[in-house]
Amino acid sequence: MDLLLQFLTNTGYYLADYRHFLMWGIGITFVYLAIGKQYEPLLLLPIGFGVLLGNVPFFKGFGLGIYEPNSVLHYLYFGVTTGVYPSIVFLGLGAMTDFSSLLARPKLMLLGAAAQMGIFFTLLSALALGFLPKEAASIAIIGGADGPTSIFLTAKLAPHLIGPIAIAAYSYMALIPIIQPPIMRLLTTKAERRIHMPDPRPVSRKELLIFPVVGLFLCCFLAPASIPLLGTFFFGNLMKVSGVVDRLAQTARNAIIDTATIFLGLTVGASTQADVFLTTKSVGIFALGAVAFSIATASGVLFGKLMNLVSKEKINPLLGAAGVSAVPGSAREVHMMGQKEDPSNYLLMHAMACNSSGVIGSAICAGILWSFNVG
Amino acid sequence: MYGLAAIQQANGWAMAGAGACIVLIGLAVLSFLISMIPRLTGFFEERAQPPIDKSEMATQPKTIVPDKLPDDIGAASTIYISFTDDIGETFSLIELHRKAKEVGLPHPHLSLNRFRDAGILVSVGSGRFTWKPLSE
Repeated sequence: MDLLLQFLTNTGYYLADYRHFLMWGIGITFVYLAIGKQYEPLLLLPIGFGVLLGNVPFFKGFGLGIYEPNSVLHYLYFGVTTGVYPSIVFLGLGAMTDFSSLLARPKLMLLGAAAQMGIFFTLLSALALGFLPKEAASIAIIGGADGPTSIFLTAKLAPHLIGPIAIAAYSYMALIPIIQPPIMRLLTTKAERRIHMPDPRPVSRKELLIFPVVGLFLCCFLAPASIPLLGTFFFGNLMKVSGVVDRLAQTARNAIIDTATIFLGLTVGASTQADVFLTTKSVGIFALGAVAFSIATASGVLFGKLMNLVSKEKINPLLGAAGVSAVPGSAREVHMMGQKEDPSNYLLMHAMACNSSGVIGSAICAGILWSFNVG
Repeated sequence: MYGLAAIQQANGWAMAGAGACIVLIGLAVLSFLISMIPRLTGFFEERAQPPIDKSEMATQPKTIVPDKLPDDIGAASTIYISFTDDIGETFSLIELHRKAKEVGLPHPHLSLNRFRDAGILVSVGSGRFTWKPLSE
């Protein structure tokens, strides 16, 4: 009888409290959004299931939890805390990204830079709310709308916040169809949304080959702390455009990125153990994440309008919203809003150019914030 | 510590200002450099190319491009099909779009979309496409 009682007191049902059920609610919501609504399913499904997994109550000291040394989850989480998974994800992203529309119209890169202003505004807001500088920098990077970059920087500066920051970053990325359209509509007129972009010029293979080398030279020399992200990103891209290592490029953009995404999502989800995750800091992080994302979108759109004031060739200011690096979600939203106003308006290729410059911009910002907070 | 005092204490204004300037200037420089790439490659290609024989140029047939595509989708597709003769049986949409732009066909995006909707232009996987004649 004692044995049975001991067994029962060790079960998750006995050890669970309201916080575990709250986290299970969040996990199930993520899984529902992934399967039912198909919002960023590649990310939300592993994260959502990871939340469920990380919130199964257990006896501390058994070597089961993600924060317990020698547990299997802890070893898998190693790729997050060291920044290995984000680096691998960037390799695959590079091997997927087609820079030809950006190379055809390089000034769209400025929109990718402008959309990073949300990061610096949030940095100030987080500091004002009492977060330490390293924590504030990690929260601010949510404004880049780039999950792997957020995880990478947080792992380096404030590893204790990885769970809430990653969840906030990925949640807002999944909620792009809800967050971005009202801001875009609010800041643009109907006539601006109807602006057609001319078709991009053809880009030669030589340009595509030179770009990753020039990009690496400029970005990584400017912010060496971005080497782990942009180094692999440009390498992946060079593999893709070179055409001589198709097998490697295929593997990078399929098997390798998928493997890293699975373990990244699952372990980040599992890192949201109720006792670590449910704190007032997490609430602050979620609120600041929403601010970061909204400001990033708004600053991109407003910069697009500013470019129209000073430039002869008009650009559609909606493209500024794609300057956040949520690939391809924000580009899709921009395209859909453009088409809603005028069905013959094809903005997708141009929006992808802003998106890819946003990826580079947010990685540079991560490098800058890391170097500001070293030591 | 909270508010403006906390920002001041953490040197936040300087971090935000410097960070924003660095990323804006960095990407502006990158944008300028990549806008220079075609000029540079063009310059070197021009120097490397042998002089063009003008008499040979005069004998080359010119592509005749209609100002407007026929409304009949089958007829319109024949113009596009002719572009893929030298690309091969399967091709990427980017290649086809580029060819159409090169010869100055109006609205290639819309045309390709129509062909896809009509089932004339079908995917064969891995981002490649092929033509499928309209069924009678």
